[in-house]
Amino acid sequence: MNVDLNRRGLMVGAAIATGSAAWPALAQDGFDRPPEAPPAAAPPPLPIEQAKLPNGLRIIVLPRPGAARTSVRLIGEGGWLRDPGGKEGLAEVALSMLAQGAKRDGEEMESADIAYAGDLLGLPLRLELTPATAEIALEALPDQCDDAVNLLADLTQRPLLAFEALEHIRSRAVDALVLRRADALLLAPWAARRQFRGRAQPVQTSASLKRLRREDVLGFHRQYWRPERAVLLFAGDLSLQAARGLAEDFMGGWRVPKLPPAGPTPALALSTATPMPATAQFLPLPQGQGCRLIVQTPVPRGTPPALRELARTLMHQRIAARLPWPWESEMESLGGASSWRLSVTLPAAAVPEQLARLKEQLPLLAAEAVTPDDLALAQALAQGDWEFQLAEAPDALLAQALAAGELDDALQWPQRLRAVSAPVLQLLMASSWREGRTHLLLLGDAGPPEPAQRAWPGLALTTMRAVIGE
Amino acid sequence: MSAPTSAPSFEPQRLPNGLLWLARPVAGAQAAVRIVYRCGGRDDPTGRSGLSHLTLRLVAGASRYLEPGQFNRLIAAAGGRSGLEIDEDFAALQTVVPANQLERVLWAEAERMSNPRLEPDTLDTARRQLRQAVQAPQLNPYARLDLAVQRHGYLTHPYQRGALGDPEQLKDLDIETMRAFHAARFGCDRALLVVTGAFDEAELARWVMHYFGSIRPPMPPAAAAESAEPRESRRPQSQTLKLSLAQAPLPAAALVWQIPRADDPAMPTWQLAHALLGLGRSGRLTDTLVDEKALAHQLSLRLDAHRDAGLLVAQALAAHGQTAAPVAQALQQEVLRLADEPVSDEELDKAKALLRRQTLSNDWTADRLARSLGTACALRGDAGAPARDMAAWLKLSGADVQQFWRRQVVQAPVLTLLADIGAAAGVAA
Repeated sequence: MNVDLNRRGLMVGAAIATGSAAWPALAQDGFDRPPEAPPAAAPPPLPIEQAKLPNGLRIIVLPRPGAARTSVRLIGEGGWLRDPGGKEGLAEVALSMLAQGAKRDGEEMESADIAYAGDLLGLPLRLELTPATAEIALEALPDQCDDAVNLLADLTQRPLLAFEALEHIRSRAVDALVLRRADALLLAPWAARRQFRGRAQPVQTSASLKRLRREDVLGFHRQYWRPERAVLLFAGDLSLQAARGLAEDFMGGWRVPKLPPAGPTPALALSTATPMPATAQFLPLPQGQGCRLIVQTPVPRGTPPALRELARTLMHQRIAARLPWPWESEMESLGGASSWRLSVTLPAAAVPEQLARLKEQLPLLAAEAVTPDDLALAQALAQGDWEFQLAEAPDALLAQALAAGELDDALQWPQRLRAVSAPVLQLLMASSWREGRTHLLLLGDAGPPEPAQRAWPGLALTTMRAVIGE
Repeated sequence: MSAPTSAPSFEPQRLPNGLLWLARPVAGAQAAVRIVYRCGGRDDPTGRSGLSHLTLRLVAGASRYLEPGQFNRLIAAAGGRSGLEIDEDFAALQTVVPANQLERVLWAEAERMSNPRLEPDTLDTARRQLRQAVQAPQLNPYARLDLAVQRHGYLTHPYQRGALGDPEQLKDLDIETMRAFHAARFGCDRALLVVTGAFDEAELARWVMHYFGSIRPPMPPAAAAESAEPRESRRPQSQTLKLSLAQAPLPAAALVWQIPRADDPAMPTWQLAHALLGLGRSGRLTDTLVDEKALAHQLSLRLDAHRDAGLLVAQALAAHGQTAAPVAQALQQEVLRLADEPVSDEELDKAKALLRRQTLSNDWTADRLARSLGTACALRGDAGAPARDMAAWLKLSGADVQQFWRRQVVQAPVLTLLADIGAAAGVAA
């Protein structure tokens, strides 16, 4: 088959052959270039509505007129950054235990009852832990929102937090830890955080999980699940008045403890921690074939989210074009300097060559001039991602912004993106990915270390104990 | 053929060149375009596993008027995202953009379909991409178990090769073989165009006719290249295979039953049984084996329905201190128990609620709906199949499911895969 046929000429020929008048009538233009690009749409800021109950509970509603279902999410402050020193994993265990038992009207609900109640709404209950928040998410039909809020209230106001549940969840957490250490993909973010932030970064170990007592869980729960520190988020076809009514019905009686919160103290506020000096580490793992390569560089504290995202997006485009592997990139902000991370999975045989090219290309790509076209491309992609998330999971988008303390930016995302100029973007990019500021981490099977060390001088073998602590 | 300006309907319409297309509106600011070729891993010639995957990457890569990388830049500049998907039964390209960019995407997709650049240099690039795609899952310490499920779950059907392919079987492939395969399998008469999102129906119909109606239909000999429909054999008896995952952290087990083809009339019953056992946090398997008995750390139950045959796969990672065999035994007991332990009305309602939400959620975004319609057409030959499934679930009772389970699963042979860690002996699967 000759695939190089000019389609316009072909179309006319086919129309003659078939005698059809319909075919050529619509083909007035050539096919050698796309139609003119229409001007980019500029969506207005997201119109959220907010209220507060007398007990301090904040209510946020993102109206989605016509939405078939409503997302309901209760957000507390007990993220994994709050893990106390020596008891890393407490935040995760405390959150998981909420779904293990609670009371409703004086009757105990077991984990199976809670699971059933969530499933009956159509989407299983989700427990999500971020660095700064612990979240319980549900989704319901409009006339089932009261059931959803009621369940959230039971789990956070009347959890059993029983000893047996702690043992069960601890055992599962230890297994999850074993799996994480054997899987380069699962281990990568934790090992990378440790490399970037050093011991300031809390990381679970089996020893820290073993140290957890029921009193720790009770104290942690009391400290971080409080109405004045929680947000009840709705995204769906409901008014603020309706949302407020639901909150009052089920959470209006959630009392603010009179005494100041007491409980375990976080190991260290990462917002005050400075990134570690750049290192290059290779942690061999016997499992799987191939390895995970991660490079990361610091981004100054206070860099606006829109600027960070534009830099990430543009760099991602550049590296994917120059080093054609399926790269992933992210910018993680935990309060202090952000970590800008690029990751890829490579077969062992490809590691030395890609390392050498990466070492050469990273500073060059970052230093390339940012043209107006570059800026427009990055803005379009960043806005497109925002619109995609908004369509797919609007509550998750807002929750993520709330957790990062960047709600205003998320609401006015298109406007914030447009406010970034090319010189400012260039300044950020050019100051990143410099040789002395780039961390390298290899996890998995990268072959014998010598070729990789030749490609990236200074690459040192390390151990799980050195990275994770045991 | 419908008039070019007629409004698109739920059922696919056929253009004179054989291309099928259908469009469904979705509220919002986005539009999705999905091109589905009815060619997947099942159609790979013997000894050329991955040829469909490779061809899809070539079609996606470059064309007469789109230089390598230009399609991605065009979509990126529009604020969109695009990807490709290779399946055992189909190969698909999907793009999501702001709705006002739809016409440009239609142009680009028609260009990729019409004039793909099948040259030695683009073939090399596609080979490299395929190798990368095959490599990525191997990082998972349980990759060998997943592979064994596919390879031994099917007995004779090409599904046992999977869809990604084997780079070794493609390294000496010449460009003429590739062109011949493309001509036979990736013509517009084997493709389905799905458009979803925010669009004007009449305008869309004009664009589709303009950009896709002009693509040349394949030459008649292409149709003669069709080979015999592959068939799957019935498993004669239950079988146990052991594989050694010497370096994996926890033992694992998988149980595999054969299920009928995706368009089988009993598929809604399979789906409901699957929901009762494996969907949600309160599915019977998780409830019993993870929460109550603490035998398993993680469980999954998959209903892999395909065009010609399928598998029901129950897979477990054992909890610390357990070995694969007792976990497999408990998993099997729990699956079979569905036939004996009555299904309460509440349990049935909950399973139906989960299924219903899962199906309805496909209509919520342009991206999901395009995927769902394309897959329903490719696997079941019917874009309306999910809606019909929903109607069927409503009529099914717990007793119906149990009776069905006794007939289809309890009496059926099962393949058991035991993956112990350390020095487990046995047949290397």
